[in-house]
Amino acid sequence: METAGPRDKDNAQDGAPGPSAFQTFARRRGAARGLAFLLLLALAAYFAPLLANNEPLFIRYEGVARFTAFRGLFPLNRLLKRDAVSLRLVEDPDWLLNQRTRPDPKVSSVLLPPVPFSPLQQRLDDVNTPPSWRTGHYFGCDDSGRDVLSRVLHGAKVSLLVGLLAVGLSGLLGVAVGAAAGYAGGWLDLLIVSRLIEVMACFPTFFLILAAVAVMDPKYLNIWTITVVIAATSWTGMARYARAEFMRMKGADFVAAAKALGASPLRLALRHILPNAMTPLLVNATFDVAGAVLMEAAISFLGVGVQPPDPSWGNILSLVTRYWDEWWLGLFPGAAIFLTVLSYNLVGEGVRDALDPRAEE
Amino acid sequence: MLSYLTRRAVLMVPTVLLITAVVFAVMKLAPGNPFSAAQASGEAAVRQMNPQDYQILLTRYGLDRPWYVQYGRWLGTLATGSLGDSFSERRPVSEVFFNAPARVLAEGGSLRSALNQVLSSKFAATLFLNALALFLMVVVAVPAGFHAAARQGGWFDRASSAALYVLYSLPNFWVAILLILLVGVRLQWLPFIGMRSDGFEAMSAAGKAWDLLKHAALPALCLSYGGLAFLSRFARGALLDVLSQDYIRTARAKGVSEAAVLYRHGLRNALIPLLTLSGILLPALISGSVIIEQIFSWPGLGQMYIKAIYSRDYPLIMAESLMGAVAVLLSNLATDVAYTVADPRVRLE
Repeated sequence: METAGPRDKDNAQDGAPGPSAFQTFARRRGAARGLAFLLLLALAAYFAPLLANNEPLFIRYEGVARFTAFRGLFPLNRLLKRDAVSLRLVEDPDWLLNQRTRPDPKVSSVLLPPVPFSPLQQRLDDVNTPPSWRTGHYFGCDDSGRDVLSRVLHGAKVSLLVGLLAVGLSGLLGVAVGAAAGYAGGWLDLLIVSRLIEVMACFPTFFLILAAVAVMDPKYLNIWTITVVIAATSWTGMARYARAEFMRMKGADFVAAAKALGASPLRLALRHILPNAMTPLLVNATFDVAGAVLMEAAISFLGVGVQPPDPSWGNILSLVTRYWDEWWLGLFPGAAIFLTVLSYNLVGEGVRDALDPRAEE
Repeated sequence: MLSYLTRRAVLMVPTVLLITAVVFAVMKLAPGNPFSAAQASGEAAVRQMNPQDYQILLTRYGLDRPWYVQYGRWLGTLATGSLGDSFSERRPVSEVFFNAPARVLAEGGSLRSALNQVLSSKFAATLFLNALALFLMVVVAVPAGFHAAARQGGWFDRASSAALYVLYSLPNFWVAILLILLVGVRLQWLPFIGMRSDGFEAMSAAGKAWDLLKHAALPALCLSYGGLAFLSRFARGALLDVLSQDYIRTARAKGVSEAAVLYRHGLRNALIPLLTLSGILLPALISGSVIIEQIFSWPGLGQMYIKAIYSRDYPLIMAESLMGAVAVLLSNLATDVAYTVADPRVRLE
């Protein structure tokens, strides 16, 4: 049985203002789902210490309540009182797990994280166990007996941070250089910036990134240096767009008007041209994040990115090339990389559609 | 034409210089050198090297000089037509790439054996893989893109654009792993390690070709699908663009059949912009081939690059970067020339 209700279509009236940019974005199912996935992933990355840990969320030990898992959660570990989060009961990392079978009489109540394994915890009994509900290793274990789900959850931080920070950094650098070249023109543009942009456009950047990270001492390889290397080799793409936009707009009437009012070149660039050039830059940046996530995964996969035992999706994935029978090492971290890259690309499409009405389709 | 080609070739020189200088500077400015790398991970003999010997080695290979001096020396060697000697392979870089056909000839070997040297080289392995990938890409993507455009909004158009979108986001190293796990390990249909089976030399010519194709199938597939997605979107756009032109409307108005409009007027013109794509596809292919060759143990330049990087073999890294840059620049030039052949309205200036 159908009930008559107001239908959106009938409410739309001629002459009413078109959908806002946000509505256009939300109306694209792919873009909205991509964004939802990324938000979920960001939450998972942030709360990873509570989701996957070998320390209890809550424990009452000798009558004292403690929240030891919160030690890894950034602002809380500073705010909570020290003895509320610290608990060095026993040196045995499996102590918590054993509470199920052989409970310690001093423990009156305990709450385990959903995945009761830390990303670095090696359990000899669990080496190369396949995924199973029974063992609690839902994504299986790697060759050192570390839980793959725990490592994937903690590895999300690396992918998200490197992706966003690298694009933020390369965006700042690219826009600054591109704007200077496009606005000022002259020898700076002709001799240096344009040549660099052209060179990087035709050179496989992957070669350069590999050359840079591979000659580094492994002790310098962490997410910050990788971020800097990716940013340093990818800013020319951003500079190309910024340069084109600034060149196009420096002759526009509104710029001439602002100049006539006595605006300084810096003010012209930042307050008048940049806001008008934001659309292509923002769209490009979103796609660049997908590229940076992929790049970090690729170099970690080749063993010259984030170094084990620290988890990153790329270095978890690389283990499968040594143990081809352990398919779970290949399936789960790879799926995480794929879904993240897909989400950023979908969000990029959505942003383009929402901000740029001239875009195709 | 000749003067145009010369001018372009001359313009390539500063670009190549800039690229190699950037790669060189990046490598040299990062901390560490081949001997410190060997000391950190290498054999006991290297680890126990005393500081004087270490210094002697650095001086011997010129690694104690500033990077621009070393770069100048590298350029000097290059000017004599040599790519230098590989540190880790302990032979000339050109031999690492192409084997030694010239030496075989000089030592009185037959032309056939010299040719065999080249055919079994790392360069040939990479060229074969990339050519196969490019072939796969064009053969699948162009008809798919054109078909989607000819029936714009149809089920094929919608399904393929969704599928291609997913393909575009799939990391090729993950696809390689999934294919190996499924086709190689589980089903055991195709080999996934190396380029030749044991006993390759004893096979007949047809058997050899079949063996090579079987080994190349998975890596070529992994290399091609990313560009395939891109190329087919581009082909679709190109045909749609042509179909909106006035001369198509004219053709329809004068009663040309829809098939003739599509195949005679549409397709031919839509092929021209596809030529420009090689400049975009080639860097992606070269980058992809590094990681794919590594996964499939394909004995080519890509795998060599990873090895060179692990051992900080500067001459080898530089030579590979140089080859990559030159390949891309040459393909850009070839594209421009091909464009004038395909489209007489375009003139080389």
